Amino acid sequence: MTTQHNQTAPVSQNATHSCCKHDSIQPIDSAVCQQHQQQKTATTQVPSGMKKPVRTEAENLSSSFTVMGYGMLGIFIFMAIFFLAIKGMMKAFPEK
Amino acid sequence: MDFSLLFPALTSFTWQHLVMILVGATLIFLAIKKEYEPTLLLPMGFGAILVNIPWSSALLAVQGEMSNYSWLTAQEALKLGEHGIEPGALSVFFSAGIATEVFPLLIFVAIGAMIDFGPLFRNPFLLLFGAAAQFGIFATVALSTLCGFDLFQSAAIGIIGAADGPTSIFVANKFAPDLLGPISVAAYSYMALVPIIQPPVIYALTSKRERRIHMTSPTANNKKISRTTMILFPIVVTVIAGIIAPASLALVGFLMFGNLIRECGVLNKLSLGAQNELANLVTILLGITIASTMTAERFVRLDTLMIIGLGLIAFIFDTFGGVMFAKGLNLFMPKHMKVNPMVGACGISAFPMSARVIHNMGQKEDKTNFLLMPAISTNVGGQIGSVVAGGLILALVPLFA
Repeated sequence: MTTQHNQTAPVSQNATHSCCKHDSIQPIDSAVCQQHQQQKTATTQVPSGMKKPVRTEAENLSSSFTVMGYGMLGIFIFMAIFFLAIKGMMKAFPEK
Repeated sequence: MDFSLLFPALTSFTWQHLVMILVGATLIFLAIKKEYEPTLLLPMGFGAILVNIPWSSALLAVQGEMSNYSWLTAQEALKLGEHGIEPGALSVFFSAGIATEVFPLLIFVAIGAMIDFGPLFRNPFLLLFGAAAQFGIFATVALSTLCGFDLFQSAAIGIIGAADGPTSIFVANKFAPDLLGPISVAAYSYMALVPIIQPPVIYALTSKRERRIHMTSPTANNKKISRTTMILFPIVVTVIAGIIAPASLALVGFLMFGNLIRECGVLNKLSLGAQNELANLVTILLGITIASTMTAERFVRLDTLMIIGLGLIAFIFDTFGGVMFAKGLNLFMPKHMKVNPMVGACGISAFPMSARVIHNMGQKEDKTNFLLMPAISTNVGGQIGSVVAGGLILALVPLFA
């Protein structure tokens, strides 16, 4: 259930393309060049600045378990560090 | 006379729009009658009505020939920034506040200014439950991949389990902006439903004997915390979080900035301003702007129902994680230091609702058992845990996607 979708980019009247069927650059015009259809741009809905390759469900599941492992370990490490920081600060700066 | 140009809203109206208007009305009903998170659900509900009347000028305005567009293509054209389509107020708010992540971060400043870390300093050990109760986030990420969502979308859905609105919006906006609407609705709705979600899970996982464990520690509750510690804590947390996971710095940093304003003692006006004016103003804008993503085209899909369901699972697994961690810990603890497993469930970020729920459950089992202080301490730890979890999700998912 990816958000990959095909977007049909509207073709401008003045757009040109180099076509092997013709000698020179010609405007894209279905009447002139019936070999070429309107340009289809396949896009995926991507988070800003991040590429989203198409992966199988099994790969995503496997990655999610990896994220779970590192994530839970990471949170516990963070909390342990904060615990030590609190203990250290309370020892270093006791209430007078 | 072209009827469709005279009454464009009527001619573009579909059953999906009606469904969304009813959804908006339901959110307003829940906010007012049941008082479920009214600060967010009411603006979101009204905003949902506002954006689901076709050709709503709150979303966009066509400069020129309206007949060139249908309501659907007009919205697509707005997304593409085409000439001739002007964004409406909600679209401007979205671009300025949500897409830039400014609104959630300003809310974090306000939340930070409201948090008192004192109870946590008296029982810092309870931080661990704030970690364990984030299990629901990661479990839901895995489950979401089984439902066909890719890793980024799954992470955005899983973060509902952080039980923290701004964190959910922040991560969802980065990873799956198209799912921002249902994720926000799910996050805020389930936060309000904690008194209904947690008790059955806790009863299923614990015995009566476990629920009656006492945790009162009079000396711990009376421990004084120095002002230096209260001031240094937000700075130290920010530096540590930033060094280990820079991706978490926006979330953690703004939360701790708000807390520093509160604890420094020389910015009382700013602290009060953050807790009141800033919180209220940004909440109004955030709620109604989130609703701009709740258009029929985006919301009335099978995905939305699945997200709502997965959000509930996230909260259930959060409770499961906290309770089971406490039970596991009790296997190694001496009798006088055992932890009441219900307190483990307070490790979610729904403050102070979860703490109150657990205290009331403890009172039901044993009137002499006062779990409020350890529950509050754990709940505060959960607020840190949820922010850290959000930061870790932001850092880890792009690495493994």
